[in-house]
Amino acid sequence: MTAYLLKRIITLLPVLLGVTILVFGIMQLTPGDPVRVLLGEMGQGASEEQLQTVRSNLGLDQPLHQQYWTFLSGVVRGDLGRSFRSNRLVAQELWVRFPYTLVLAITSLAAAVSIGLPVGIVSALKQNTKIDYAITFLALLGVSIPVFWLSLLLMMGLSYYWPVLPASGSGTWRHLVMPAMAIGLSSIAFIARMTRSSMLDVLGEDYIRTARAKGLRSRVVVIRHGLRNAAIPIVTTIGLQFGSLLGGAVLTETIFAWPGIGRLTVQAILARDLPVIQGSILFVAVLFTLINLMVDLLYAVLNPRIRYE
Amino acid sequence: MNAKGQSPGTRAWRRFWHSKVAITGFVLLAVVLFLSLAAPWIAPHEPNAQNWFRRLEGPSMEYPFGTDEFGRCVLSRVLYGGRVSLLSGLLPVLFGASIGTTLGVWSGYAGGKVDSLIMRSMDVLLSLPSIFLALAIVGTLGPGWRNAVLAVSVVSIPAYARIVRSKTLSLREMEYVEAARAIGASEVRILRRYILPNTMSPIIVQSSLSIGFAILSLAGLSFLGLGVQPPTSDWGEMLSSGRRFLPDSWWLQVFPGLFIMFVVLGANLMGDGLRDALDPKGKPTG
Repeated sequence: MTAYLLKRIITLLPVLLGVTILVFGIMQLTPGDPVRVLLGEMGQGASEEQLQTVRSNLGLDQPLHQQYWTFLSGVVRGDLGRSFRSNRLVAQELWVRFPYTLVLAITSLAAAVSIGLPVGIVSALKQNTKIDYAITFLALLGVSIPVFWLSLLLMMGLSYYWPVLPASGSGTWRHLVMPAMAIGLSSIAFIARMTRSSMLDVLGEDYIRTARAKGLRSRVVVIRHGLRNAAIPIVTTIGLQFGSLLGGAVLTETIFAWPGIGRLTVQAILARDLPVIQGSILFVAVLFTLINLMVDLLYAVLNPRIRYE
Repeated sequence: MNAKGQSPGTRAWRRFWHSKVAITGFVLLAVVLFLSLAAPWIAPHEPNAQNWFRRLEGPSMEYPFGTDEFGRCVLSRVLYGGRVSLLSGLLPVLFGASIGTTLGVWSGYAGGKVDSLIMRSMDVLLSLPSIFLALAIVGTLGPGWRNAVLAVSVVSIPAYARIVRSKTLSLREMEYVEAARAIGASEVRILRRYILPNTMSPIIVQSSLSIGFAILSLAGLSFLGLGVQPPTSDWGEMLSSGRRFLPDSWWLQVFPGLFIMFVVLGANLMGDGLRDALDPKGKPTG
Protein backbone atom coordinates (compact mmCIF):
# COMPACT_ATOMS: atom_id res chain seq x y z
CA MET A 1 0.00 0.00 0.00
CA THR A 2 2.80 2.41 0.91
CA ALA A 3 4.54 1.65 -2.36
CA TYR A 4 1.32 2.34 -4.23
CA LEU A 5 0.83 5.60 -2.35
CA LEU A 6 4.36 6.74 -3.16
CA LYS A 7 3.95 5.86 -6.81
CA ARG A 8 0.75 7.87 -7.04
CA ILE A 9 2.30 10.88 -5.32
CA ILE A 10 5.29 10.83 -7.66
CA THR A 11 3.02 10.87 -10.72
CA LEU A 12 1.30 13.94 -9.28
CA LEU A 13 4.43 16.06 -9.20
CA PRO A 14 4.71 16.69 -12.96
CA VAL A 15 1.00 17.54 -13.06
CA LEU A 16 1.36 20.09 -10.29
CA LEU A 17 4.44 21.51 -11.98
CA GLY A 18 2.32 21.71 -15.14
CA VAL A 19 -0.31 23.67 -13.22
CA THR A 20 2.27 26.27 -12.21
CA ILE A 21 3.34 26.57 -15.86
CA LEU A 22 -0.31 26.89 -16.91
CA VAL A 23 -0.99 29.61 -14.35
CA PHE A 24 2.22 31.46 -15.18
CA GLY A 25 1.43 31.04 -18.86
CA ILE A 26 -2.09 32.45 -18.75
CA MET A 27 -0.84 35.41 -16.79
CA GLN A 28 1.55 36.19 -19.65
CA LEU A 29 -1.46 36.27 -21.98
CA THR A 30 -3.17 38.96 -19.93
CA PRO A 31 -3.76 41.89 -22.23
CA GLY A 32 -2.22 45.19 -21.24
CA ASP A 33 0.69 46.08 -19.02
CA PRO A 34 0.41 44.43 -15.59
CA VAL A 35 2.06 47.44 -14.01
CA ARG A 36 -0.69 49.69 -15.33
CA VAL A 37 -3.27 47.20 -14.06
CA LEU A 38 -1.59 47.28 -10.66
CA LEU A 39 -1.47 51.06 -10.50
CA GLY A 40 -5.02 51.39 -11.79
CA GLU A 41 -6.08 55.02 -12.19
CA MET A 42 -2.97 56.26 -10.44
CA GLY A 43 -0.98 54.82 -13.30
CA GLN A 44 -2.66 57.07 -15.89
CA GLY A 45 -0.37 60.03 -15.32
CA ALA A 46 2.75 58.05 -14.48
CA SER A 47 5.84 58.68 -16.56
CA GLU A 48 7.58 55.87 -18.39
CA GLU A 49 10.45 56.22 -15.92
CA GLN A 50 8.18 55.67 -12.92
CA LEU A 51 6.59 52.67 -14.59
CA GLN A 52 10.05 51.29 -15.19
CA THR A 53 10.87 51.61 -11.49
CA VAL A 54 7.77 49.70 -10.46
CA ARG A 55 8.53 47.09 -13.11
CA SER A 56 12.03 46.46 -11.82
CA ASN A 57 10.77 46.41 -8.22
CA LEU A 58 8.38 43.64 -9.17
CA GLY A 59 11.04 41.82 -11.18
CA LEU A 60 8.98 42.21 -14.37
CA ASP A 61 12.03 43.37 -16.34
CA GLN A 62 13.71 39.99 -15.84
CA PRO A 63 13.74 37.41 -18.64
CA LEU A 64 10.71 35.10 -18.69
CA HIS A 65 12.39 31.96 -17.35
CA GLN A 66 13.88 34.01 -14.51
CA GLN A 67 10.41 35.32 -13.67
CA TYR A 68 8.96 31.82 -13.72
CA TRP A 69 11.72 30.61 -11.43
CA THR A 70 11.04 33.42 -8.94
CA PHE A 71 7.33 32.64 -9.14
CA LEU A 72 7.85 28.92 -8.65
CA SER A 73 10.21 29.26 -5.73
CA GLY A 74 7.69 31.62 -4.12
CA VAL A 75 4.88 29.11 -4.64
CA VAL A 76 6.91 26.29 -3.10
CA ARG A 77 7.54 28.42 -0.02
CA GLY A 78 3.84 29.31 0.17
CA ASP A 79 4.48 32.89 -0.91
CA LEU A 80 1.79 33.82 -3.41
CA GLY A 81 2.46 37.54 -3.42
CA ARG A 82 0.24 40.38 -2.29
CA SER A 83 -3.19 41.41 -3.48
CA PHE A 84 -3.14 44.46 -5.78
CA ARG A 85 -6.34 45.61 -4.14
CA SER A 86 -5.98 45.04 -0.41
CA ASN A 87 -2.20 44.64 -0.27
CA ARG A 88 -2.75 41.65 2.02
CA LEU A 89 -0.86 38.40 1.49
CA VAL A 90 -2.69 36.24 -1.02
CA ALA A 91 -1.99 33.10 1.00
CA GLN A 92 -3.55 34.70 4.06
CA GLU A 93 -6.55 35.87 2.04
CA LEU A 94 -7.10 32.31 0.78
CA TRP A 95 -6.67 30.85 4.23
CA VAL A 96 -9.39 33.11 5.64
CA ARG A 97 -11.83 32.19 2.87
CA PHE A 98 -11.16 28.48 2.69
CA PRO A 99 -13.13 27.34 5.80
CA TYR A 100 -16.30 28.87 4.31
CA THR A 101 -15.92 26.95 1.08
CA LEU A 102 -15.07 23.78 2.97
CA VAL A 103 -18.12 24.00 5.24
CA LEU A 104 -20.38 24.65 2.26
CA ALA A 105 -18.92 21.74 0.30
CA ILE A 106 -19.09 19.28 3.19
CA THR A 107 -22.66 20.21 4.08
CA SER A 108 -23.97 19.92 0.56
CA LEU A 109 -22.04 16.73 -0.11
CA ALA A 110 -23.31 15.11 3.10
CA ALA A 111 -26.86 16.01 2.12
CA ALA A 112 -26.29 14.82 -1.43
CA VAL A 113 -24.91 11.44 -0.37
CA SER A 114 -27.60 10.80 2.20
CA ILE A 115 -30.31 11.54 -0.37
CA GLY A 116 -28.71 10.47 -3.64
CA LEU A 117 -27.49 7.08 -2.54
CA PRO A 118 -30.77 5.62 -1.19
CA VAL A 119 -32.72 7.18 -4.05
CA GLY A 120 -30.39 5.59 -6.58
CA ILE A 121 -30.67 2.19 -4.88
CA VAL A 122 -34.47 2.36 -4.81
CA SER A 123 -34.49 3.34 -8.46
CA ALA A 124 -32.32 0.34 -9.37
CA LEU A 125 -34.38 -2.10 -7.28
CA LYS A 126 -37.60 -0.87 -8.87
CA GLN A 127 -36.17 -0.75 -12.38
CA ASN A 128 -38.70 0.16 -15.08
CA THR A 129 -41.48 1.01 -12.64
CA LYS A 130 -43.16 4.38 -12.27
CA ILE A 131 -40.97 5.19 -9.26
CA ASP A 132 -37.84 4.49 -11.30
CA TYR A 133 -39.02 6.64 -14.18
CA ALA A 134 -39.91 9.48 -11.83
CA ILE A 135 -36.52 9.32 -10.09
CA THR A 136 -34.63 9.07 -13.36
CA PHE A 137 -36.47 12.06 -14.78
CA LEU A 138 -36.00 14.17 -11.66
CA ALA A 139 -32.30 13.29 -11.58
CA LEU A 140 -31.94 14.36 -15.19
CA LEU A 141 -33.77 17.58 -14.40
CA GLY A 142 -31.40 18.08 -11.47
CA VAL A 143 -28.31 17.97 -13.69
CA SER A 144 -29.93 20.25 -16.26
CA ILE A 145 -30.96 23.14 -14.02
CA PRO A 146 -28.52 26.04 -14.11
CA VAL A 147 -27.21 26.32 -10.54
CA PHE A 148 -27.31 30.10 -10.52
CA TRP A 149 -30.90 30.08 -11.69
CA LEU A 150 -31.86 27.59 -9.01
CA SER A 151 -30.11 29.81 -6.47
CA LEU A 152 -32.16 32.80 -7.57
CA LEU A 153 -35.42 30.84 -7.52
CA LEU A 154 -34.66 29.56 -4.02
CA MET A 155 -33.88 33.07 -2.89
CA MET A 156 -37.10 34.35 -4.42
CA GLY A 157 -39.12 31.58 -2.76
CA LEU A 158 -37.48 31.24 0.64
CA SER A 159 -36.41 34.81 1.35
CA TYR A 160 -39.07 36.96 -0.28
CA TYR A 161 -42.36 35.18 -0.86
CA TRP A 162 -42.04 32.94 2.19
CA PRO A 163 -39.32 34.62 4.23
CA VAL A 164 -37.81 31.85 6.33
CA LEU A 165 -34.11 32.14 5.40
CA PRO A 166 -31.72 35.08 4.99
CA ALA A 167 -31.08 35.96 1.34
CA SER A 168 -27.33 36.37 1.63
CA GLY A 169 -24.33 36.64 3.90
CA SER A 170 -22.85 34.23 6.39
CA GLY A 171 -22.57 33.67 10.10
CA THR A 172 -25.32 31.29 11.17
CA TRP A 173 -26.41 27.86 9.95
CA ARG A 174 -29.47 29.51 8.43
CA HIS A 175 -27.22 31.31 5.97
CA LEU A 176 -25.82 27.97 4.93
CA VAL A 177 -29.09 26.24 4.03
CA MET A 178 -29.90 27.84 0.67
CA PRO A 179 -26.43 27.80 -0.89
CA ALA A 180 -26.02 24.19 0.22
CA MET A 181 -29.39 23.29 -1.31
CA ALA A 182 -28.56 25.06 -4.55
CA ILE A 183 -25.24 23.35 -5.15
CA GLY A 184 -26.26 20.09 -3.51
CA LEU A 185 -29.15 19.42 -5.88
CA SER A 186 -27.03 18.62 -8.89
CA SER A 187 -24.77 16.44 -6.72
CA ILE A 188 -27.81 14.50 -5.52
CA ALA A 189 -28.74 13.97 -9.14
CA PHE A 190 -25.23 12.85 -10.19
CA ILE A 191 -24.89 10.47 -7.26
CA ALA A 192 -28.37 9.00 -7.77
CA ARG A 193 -27.73 8.42 -11.48
CA MET A 194 -24.40 6.75 -10.88
CA THR A 195 -25.73 4.63 -8.01
CA ARG A 196 -28.64 3.46 -10.12
CA SER A 197 -26.55 2.43 -13.10
CA SER A 198 -23.79 0.70 -11.15
CA MET A 199 -26.30 -1.11 -8.93
CA LEU A 200 -28.10 -2.32 -12.05
CA ASP A 201 -24.82 -3.72 -13.38
CA VAL A 202 -24.28 -5.64 -10.18
CA LEU A 203 -27.79 -6.80 -9.31
CA GLY A 204 -27.93 -9.07 -12.35
CA GLU A 205 -24.86 -11.04 -11.23
CA ASP A 206 -24.94 -14.67 -10.19
CA TYR A 207 -23.66 -14.05 -6.69
CA ILE A 208 -26.67 -11.87 -5.98
CA ARG A 209 -28.95 -14.70 -7.03
CA THR A 210 -26.95 -17.10 -4.87
CA ALA A 211 -27.21 -14.78 -1.90
CA ARG A 212 -30.95 -14.52 -2.37
CA ALA A 213 -31.27 -18.26 -2.89
CA LYS A 214 -29.60 -19.06 0.38
CA GLY A 215 -32.32 -17.04 2.06
CA LEU A 216 -30.46 -13.90 3.14
CA ARG A 217 -32.59 -10.94 4.00
CA SER A 218 -33.11 -8.55 1.15
CA ARG A 219 -31.42 -5.69 2.97
CA VAL A 220 -28.28 -7.74 3.51
CA VAL A 221 -28.20 -8.82 -0.13
CA VAL A 222 -28.63 -5.29 -1.42
CA ILE A 223 -26.16 -3.63 0.88
CA ARG A 224 -23.46 -6.20 1.53
CA HIS A 225 -23.50 -8.03 -1.78
CA GLY A 226 -24.84 -5.35 -4.07
CA LEU A 227 -23.69 -1.95 -2.89
CA ARG A 228 -20.22 -3.07 -1.91
CA ASN A 229 -19.52 -4.38 -5.37
CA ALA A 230 -21.08 -1.36 -7.01
CA ALA A 231 -19.08 1.00 -4.82
CA ILE A 232 -16.14 1.98 -7.03
CA PRO A 233 -17.95 4.11 -9.63
CA ILE A 234 -20.13 5.58 -6.88
CA VAL A 235 -17.12 6.54 -4.77
CA THR A 236 -15.52 8.12 -7.84
CA THR A 237 -18.60 10.21 -8.47
CA ILE A 238 -18.77 11.31 -4.84
CA GLY A 239 -15.08 12.21 -4.85
CA LEU A 240 -15.33 14.17 -8.08
CA GLN A 241 -18.43 15.93 -6.78
CA PHE A 242 -16.55 16.95 -3.65
CA GLY A 243 -13.74 18.32 -5.77
CA SER A 244 -16.05 20.32 -7.97
CA LEU A 245 -18.06 21.55 -4.99
CA LEU A 246 -14.86 22.96 -3.51
CA GLY A 247 -13.89 24.83 -6.63
CA GLY A 248 -17.12 25.03 -8.54
CA ALA A 249 -19.38 26.82 -6.11
CA VAL A 250 -18.30 30.03 -7.81
CA LEU A 251 -21.75 31.16 -8.95
CA THR A 252 -23.60 30.10 -5.83
CA GLU A 253 -21.10 31.77 -3.54
CA THR A 254 -21.36 34.95 -5.58
CA ILE A 255 -25.16 35.03 -5.52
CA PHE A 256 -25.51 34.34 -1.81
CA ALA A 257 -22.53 36.56 -0.91
CA TRP A 258 -20.94 33.55 0.76
CA PRO A 259 -17.33 34.59 1.51
CA GLY A 260 -15.58 31.52 0.10
CA ILE A 261 -12.83 30.93 -2.45
CA GLY A 262 -15.24 31.10 -5.40
CA ARG A 263 -16.47 34.54 -4.52
CA LEU A 264 -12.92 35.70 -3.81
CA THR A 265 -11.91 34.57 -7.30
CA VAL A 266 -14.82 36.30 -9.01
CA GLN A 267 -14.15 39.51 -7.11
CA ALA A 268 -10.47 39.29 -8.04
CA ILE A 269 -11.34 38.76 -11.70
CA LEU A 270 -13.72 41.71 -11.80
CA ALA A 271 -11.09 43.89 -10.12
CA ARG A 272 -8.26 42.44 -12.26
CA ASP A 273 -6.38 41.57 -9.09
CA LEU A 274 -3.88 39.27 -10.80
CA PRO A 275 -2.00 37.84 -7.79
CA VAL A 276 -5.26 36.78 -6.16
CA ILE A 277 -6.53 35.19 -9.40
CA GLN A 278 -3.23 33.36 -9.74
CA GLY A 279 -3.22 32.26 -6.10
CA SER A 280 -6.75 30.95 -6.07
CA ILE A 281 -6.25 28.95 -9.29
CA LEU A 282 -3.19 27.30 -7.79
CA PHE A 283 -4.92 26.68 -4.50
CA VAL A 284 -7.97 25.06 -6.08
CA ALA A 285 -5.79 22.98 -8.40
CA VAL A 286 -3.76 21.58 -5.52
CA LEU A 287 -6.92 20.89 -3.54
CA PHE A 288 -8.67 19.21 -6.46
CA THR A 289 -5.59 17.10 -7.23
CA LEU A 290 -5.30 15.97 -3.61
CA ILE A 291 -8.96 14.96 -3.52
CA ASN A 292 -8.54 12.98 -6.72
CA LEU A 293 -5.54 11.29 -5.12
CA MET A 294 -7.65 10.37 -2.11
CA VAL A 295 -10.31 8.92 -4.39
CA ASP A 296 -7.64 6.84 -6.10
CA LEU A 297 -6.38 5.57 -2.76
CA LEU A 298 -9.90 4.69 -1.73
CA TYR A 299 -10.17 2.56 -4.89
CA ALA A 300 -7.13 0.63 -3.81
CA VAL A 301 -8.77 0.00 -0.46
CA LEU A 302 -12.03 -1.07 -2.07
CA ASN A 303 -10.46 -3.16 -4.78
CA PRO A 304 -7.14 -4.79 -3.82
CA ARG A 305 -6.50 -5.81 -7.43
CA ILE A 306 -5.70 -2.19 -8.33
CA ARG A 307 -2.75 -2.12 -5.92
CA TYR A 308 -0.93 -4.87 -7.71
CA GLU A 309 -1.26 -3.67 -11.25
CA MET B 1 -30.20 -11.63 -33.07
CA ASN B 2 -29.40 -9.65 -36.11
CA ALA B 3 -32.00 -11.37 -38.28
CA LYS B 4 -32.48 -8.59 -40.80
CA GLY B 5 -28.75 -8.19 -41.24
CA GLN B 6 -28.68 -4.55 -40.20
CA SER B 7 -25.40 -2.69 -40.23
CA PRO B 8 -24.35 -1.28 -36.85
CA GLY B 9 -25.17 2.20 -38.11
CA THR B 10 -28.69 1.27 -39.17
CA ARG B 11 -29.25 -0.54 -35.91
CA ALA B 12 -28.13 2.44 -33.85
CA TRP B 13 -30.30 4.74 -35.98
CA ARG B 14 -33.35 2.54 -35.42
CA ARG B 15 -32.68 2.17 -31.74
CA PHE B 16 -32.36 5.92 -31.41
CA TRP B 17 -35.76 6.54 -33.00
CA HIS B 18 -37.34 3.83 -30.88
CA SER B 19 -36.19 5.41 -27.64
CA LYS B 20 -38.69 7.77 -26.05
CA VAL B 21 -35.89 9.42 -24.11
CA ALA B 22 -33.90 10.20 -27.23
CA ILE B 23 -36.90 11.50 -29.15
CA THR B 24 -38.03 13.73 -26.29
CA GLY B 25 -34.56 15.24 -26.14
CA PHE B 26 -34.37 15.69 -29.88
CA VAL B 27 -37.79 17.37 -30.02
CA LEU B 28 -36.97 19.73 -27.14
CA LEU B 29 -33.75 20.83 -28.82
CA ALA B 30 -35.37 21.08 -32.24
CA VAL B 31 -38.23 23.24 -30.94
CA VAL B 32 -35.94 25.71 -29.18
CA LEU B 33 -33.59 25.80 -32.16
CA PHE B 34 -36.51 26.48 -34.50
CA LEU B 35 -37.90 29.22 -32.27
CA SER B 36 -34.53 30.98 -32.15
CA LEU B 37 -33.85 30.68 -35.86
CA ALA B 38 -37.35 31.88 -36.68
CA ALA B 39 -37.09 34.79 -34.23
CA PRO B 40 -37.24 37.53 -36.91
CA TRP B 41 -40.59 36.17 -38.12
CA ILE B 42 -42.26 35.11 -34.87
CA ALA B 43 -40.98 37.58 -32.28
CA PRO B 44 -43.85 39.96 -31.44
CA HIS B 45 -41.55 43.00 -31.02
CA GLU B 46 -38.13 44.33 -31.90
CA PRO B 47 -35.83 42.81 -29.22
CA ASN B 48 -34.08 46.12 -28.57
CA ALA B 49 -37.08 48.45 -28.97
CA GLN B 50 -37.49 50.38 -25.73
CA ASN B 51 -40.82 51.63 -24.51
CA TRP B 52 -40.43 53.97 -21.59
CA PHE B 53 -44.12 53.82 -20.71
CA ARG B 54 -44.32 50.05 -20.49
CA ARG B 55 -41.43 49.25 -18.12
CA LEU B 56 -41.40 46.13 -15.91
CA GLU B 57 -44.87 44.98 -16.87
CA GLY B 58 -45.98 41.46 -16.05
CA PRO B 59 -47.00 38.97 -18.75
CA SER B 60 -49.97 40.09 -20.86
CA MET B 61 -51.46 39.33 -24.26
CA GLU B 62 -49.29 41.97 -25.85
CA TYR B 63 -46.12 41.00 -23.93
CA PRO B 64 -46.51 37.27 -23.18
CA PHE B 65 -43.31 37.15 -21.07
CA GLY B 66 -43.65 40.72 -19.74
CA THR B 67 -41.24 43.61 -20.24
CA ASP B 68 -37.87 44.52 -18.74
CA GLU B 69 -36.56 47.70 -17.12
CA PHE B 70 -36.35 49.44 -20.51
CA GLY B 71 -39.80 48.32 -21.59
CA ARG B 72 -38.34 45.76 -23.99
CA CYS B 73 -40.32 42.63 -24.80
CA VAL B 74 -38.89 39.71 -22.82
CA LEU B 75 -40.29 37.06 -25.19
CA SER B 76 -38.58 38.66 -28.18
CA ARG B 77 -35.35 39.00 -26.25
CA VAL B 78 -35.50 35.35 -25.16
CA LEU B 79 -36.01 34.26 -28.78
CA TYR B 80 -33.15 36.40 -30.12
CA GLY B 81 -30.97 35.63 -27.10
CA GLY B 82 -31.41 31.96 -27.92
CA ARG B 83 -29.39 32.45 -31.08
CA VAL B 84 -26.39 33.58 -29.04
CA SER B 85 -26.92 30.96 -26.33
CA LEU B 86 -27.30 28.06 -28.75
CA LEU B 87 -24.32 29.14 -30.80
CA SER B 88 -22.37 29.42 -27.55
CA GLY B 89 -23.34 25.85 -26.79
CA LEU B 90 -22.35 24.48 -30.18
CA LEU B 91 -19.06 26.26 -30.87
CA PRO B 92 -17.14 24.93 -27.85
CA VAL B 93 -18.35 21.42 -28.64
CA LEU B 94 -17.14 21.79 -32.22
CA PHE B 95 -13.75 23.20 -31.18
CA GLY B 96 -13.34 20.88 -28.22
CA ALA B 97 -14.25 17.80 -30.24
CA SER B 98 -11.99 18.56 -33.19
CA ILE B 99 -8.93 19.56 -31.16
CA GLY B 100 -9.50 16.86 -28.54
CA THR B 101 -9.95 14.15 -31.17
CA THR B 102 -6.82 15.19 -33.02
CA LEU B 103 -4.79 15.16 -29.83
CA GLY B 104 -6.30 11.85 -28.74
CA VAL B 105 -5.60 10.06 -32.02
CA TRP B 106 -2.13 11.53 -32.20
CA SER B 107 -1.39 10.55 -28.63
CA GLY B 108 -2.71 7.02 -28.93
CA TYR B 109 -1.17 6.38 -32.31
CA ALA B 110 2.25 7.90 -31.74
CA GLY B 111 2.76 6.57 -28.23
CA GLY B 112 6.01 7.21 -26.38
CA LYS B 113 7.08 10.73 -25.49
CA VAL B 114 4.40 12.44 -27.58
CA ASP B 115 1.76 10.42 -25.79
CA SER B 116 3.09 11.28 -22.33
CA LEU B 117 3.45 14.94 -23.17
CA ILE B 118 -0.10 15.25 -24.53
CA MET B 119 -1.73 13.23 -21.78
CA ARG B 120 0.14 15.00 -18.98
CA SER B 121 -1.01 18.33 -20.45
CA MET B 122 -4.56 17.02 -20.40
CA ASP B 123 -4.06 16.04 -16.75
CA VAL B 124 -3.04 19.60 -16.03
CA LEU B 125 -6.24 20.91 -17.59
CA LEU B 126 -8.21 18.34 -15.61
CA SER B 127 -6.59 19.39 -12.36
CA LEU B 128 -9.12 22.18 -11.98
CA PRO B 129 -12.90 21.89 -11.76
CA SER B 130 -14.13 22.74 -15.27
CA ILE B 131 -16.14 25.86 -14.45
CA PHE B 132 -13.24 27.14 -12.39
CA LEU B 133 -10.78 26.64 -15.23
CA ALA B 134 -13.11 28.43 -17.64
CA LEU B 135 -13.42 31.25 -15.15
CA ALA B 136 -9.65 31.45 -14.75
CA ILE B 137 -9.12 31.69 -18.51
CA VAL B 138 -11.75 34.36 -19.10
CA GLY B 139 -10.60 36.11 -15.98
CA THR B 140 -7.09 36.56 -17.30
CA LEU B 141 -7.91 37.13 -20.97
CA GLY B 142 -10.62 39.61 -20.08
CA PRO B 143 -14.42 39.45 -20.37
CA GLY B 144 -16.22 39.04 -23.69
CA TRP B 145 -18.09 36.48 -25.73
CA ARG B 146 -15.09 35.33 -27.77
CA ASN B 147 -12.90 34.74 -24.76
CA ALA B 148 -15.73 32.94 -22.97
CA VAL B 149 -16.28 30.59 -25.93
CA LEU B 150 -12.53 30.03 -26.13
CA ALA B 151 -12.38 29.22 -22.42
CA VAL B 152 -15.20 26.69 -22.52
CA SER B 153 -13.66 25.13 -25.65
CA VAL B 154 -10.33 24.63 -23.92
CA VAL B 155 -12.10 23.11 -20.95
CA SER B 156 -13.90 20.59 -23.20
CA ILE B 157 -10.75 19.30 -24.90
CA PRO B 158 -9.40 16.79 -22.32
CA ALA B 159 -12.53 14.64 -22.18
CA TYR B 160 -12.36 14.02 -25.94
CA ALA B 161 -8.60 13.50 -25.94
CA ARG B 162 -8.85 10.85 -23.23
CA ILE B 163 -11.77 8.98 -24.78
CA VAL B 164 -10.28 8.99 -28.27
CA ARG B 165 -6.81 8.03 -27.06
CA SER B 166 -8.02 4.94 -25.23
CA LYS B 167 -10.13 3.94 -28.21
CA THR B 168 -7.18 4.46 -30.55
CA LEU B 169 -4.91 2.36 -28.34
CA SER B 170 -7.22 -0.61 -28.62
CA LEU B 171 -7.95 -0.08 -32.31
CA ARG B 172 -4.24 0.11 -33.15
CA GLU B 173 -3.85 -3.52 -32.12
CA MET B 174 -6.80 -4.77 -34.18
CA GLU B 175 -6.14 -7.36 -36.82
CA TYR B 176 -7.72 -5.34 -39.61
CA VAL B 177 -5.36 -2.47 -38.87
CA GLU B 178 -2.43 -4.83 -38.96
CA ALA B 179 -3.77 -6.27 -42.21
CA ALA B 180 -4.07 -2.81 -43.72
CA ARG B 181 -0.51 -2.05 -42.72
CA ALA B 182 0.65 -5.38 -44.17
CA ILE B 183 -0.78 -4.56 -47.60
CA GLY B 184 1.08 -1.27 -47.49
CA ALA B 185 -1.61 1.26 -46.57
CA SER B 186 -0.13 4.62 -45.58
CA GLU B 187 -0.41 5.85 -41.99
CA VAL B 188 -2.77 8.60 -43.08
CA ARG B 189 -5.01 6.11 -44.80
CA ILE B 190 -5.04 3.82 -41.77
CA LEU B 191 -6.00 6.72 -39.54
CA ARG B 192 -8.68 8.02 -41.88
CA ARG B 193 -10.13 4.71 -43.00
CA TYR B 194 -9.81 2.44 -39.94
CA ILE B 195 -9.15 4.39 -36.77
CA LEU B 196 -11.18 7.61 -36.95
CA PRO B 197 -14.51 6.12 -38.08
CA ASN B 198 -14.40 3.71 -35.16
CA THR B 199 -13.90 6.48 -32.62
CA MET B 200 -17.01 8.28 -33.84
CA SER B 201 -19.63 6.84 -31.53
CA PRO B 202 -18.03 7.84 -28.21
CA ILE B 203 -17.31 11.25 -29.74
CA ILE B 204 -20.95 11.69 -30.71
CA VAL B 205 -22.15 10.74 -27.23
CA GLN B 206 -19.61 13.00 -25.52
CA SER B 207 -20.56 15.88 -27.84
CA SER B 208 -24.21 15.71 -27.12
CA LEU B 209 -23.55 15.57 -23.39
CA SER B 210 -21.14 18.49 -23.55
CA ILE B 211 -23.64 20.75 -25.33
CA GLY B 212 -25.49 20.99 -22.04
CA PHE B 213 -22.28 21.69 -20.16
CA ALA B 214 -21.22 24.37 -22.64
CA ILE B 215 -24.56 26.17 -22.52
CA LEU B 216 -24.61 26.10 -18.73
CA SER B 217 -21.02 27.33 -18.47
CA LEU B 218 -21.47 30.16 -20.94
CA ALA B 219 -24.72 31.22 -19.34
CA GLY B 220 -22.88 31.20 -16.01
CA LEU B 221 -20.03 33.30 -17.36
CA SER B 222 -22.50 35.77 -18.91
CA PHE B 223 -24.32 35.85 -15.59
CA LEU B 224 -21.08 36.96 -13.91
CA GLY B 225 -20.69 39.65 -16.56
CA LEU B 226 -17.74 37.84 -18.18
CA GLY B 227 -19.54 36.53 -21.28
CA VAL B 228 -21.55 38.52 -23.84
CA GLN B 229 -21.42 42.25 -23.33
CA PRO B 230 -24.44 44.56 -23.74
CA PRO B 231 -26.16 45.45 -26.00
CA THR B 232 -25.83 41.82 -27.17
CA SER B 233 -27.73 39.57 -24.88
CA ASP B 234 -28.05 35.89 -24.12
CA TRP B 235 -30.07 34.02 -21.53
CA GLY B 236 -27.37 34.24 -18.88
CA GLU B 237 -27.00 37.98 -19.32
CA MET B 238 -30.80 38.40 -19.14
CA LEU B 239 -30.88 36.54 -15.83
CA SER B 240 -28.06 38.67 -14.53
CA SER B 241 -29.59 42.02 -15.43
CA GLY B 242 -33.04 40.92 -14.26
CA ARG B 243 -31.67 40.04 -10.85
CA ARG B 244 -31.88 43.62 -9.63
CA PHE B 245 -35.66 43.54 -10.04
CA LEU B 246 -36.28 40.56 -7.82
CA PRO B 247 -38.63 39.56 -6.32
CA ASP B 248 -41.31 41.73 -7.94
CA SER B 249 -40.43 41.20 -11.58
CA TRP B 250 -40.23 37.40 -11.42
CA TRP B 251 -40.84 37.05 -15.16
CA LEU B 252 -37.37 38.41 -15.86
CA GLN B 253 -35.94 35.35 -14.06
CA VAL B 254 -38.36 32.59 -14.84
CA PHE B 255 -38.52 32.63 -18.65
CA PRO B 256 -34.85 32.85 -19.68
CA GLY B 257 -34.02 30.27 -17.01
CA LEU B 258 -36.68 27.87 -18.28
CA PHE B 259 -35.24 28.11 -21.77
CA ILE B 260 -31.74 27.28 -20.54
CA MET B 261 -33.14 24.33 -18.64
CA PHE B 262 -35.13 23.02 -21.61
CA VAL B 263 -32.14 23.13 -23.92
CA VAL B 264 -29.80 21.49 -21.44
CA LEU B 265 -32.40 18.87 -20.57
CA GLY B 266 -32.93 18.21 -24.28
CA ALA B 267 -29.21 17.80 -24.90
CA ASN B 268 -28.81 15.48 -21.91
CA LEU B 269 -31.79 13.34 -22.90
CA MET B 270 -30.47 13.08 -26.41
CA GLY B 271 -27.03 12.17 -25.09
CA ASP B 272 -28.47 9.40 -22.90
CA GLY B 273 -30.47 8.11 -25.86
CA LEU B 274 -27.46 8.19 -28.17
CA ARG B 275 -25.32 6.37 -25.65
CA ASP B 276 -27.85 3.56 -25.44
CA ALA B 277 -28.34 3.50 -29.20
CA LEU B 278 -24.62 3.35 -29.98
CA ASP B 279 -23.78 0.79 -27.31
CA PRO B 280 -22.71 -2.30 -29.29
CA LYS B 281 -23.81 -4.50 -26.40
CA GLY B 282 -27.30 -2.99 -26.46
CA LYS B 283 -30.38 -4.92 -27.48
CA PRO B 284 -31.43 -4.63 -31.12
CA THR B 285 -34.95 -3.37 -31.71
CA GLY B 286 -37.20 -4.62 -34.47
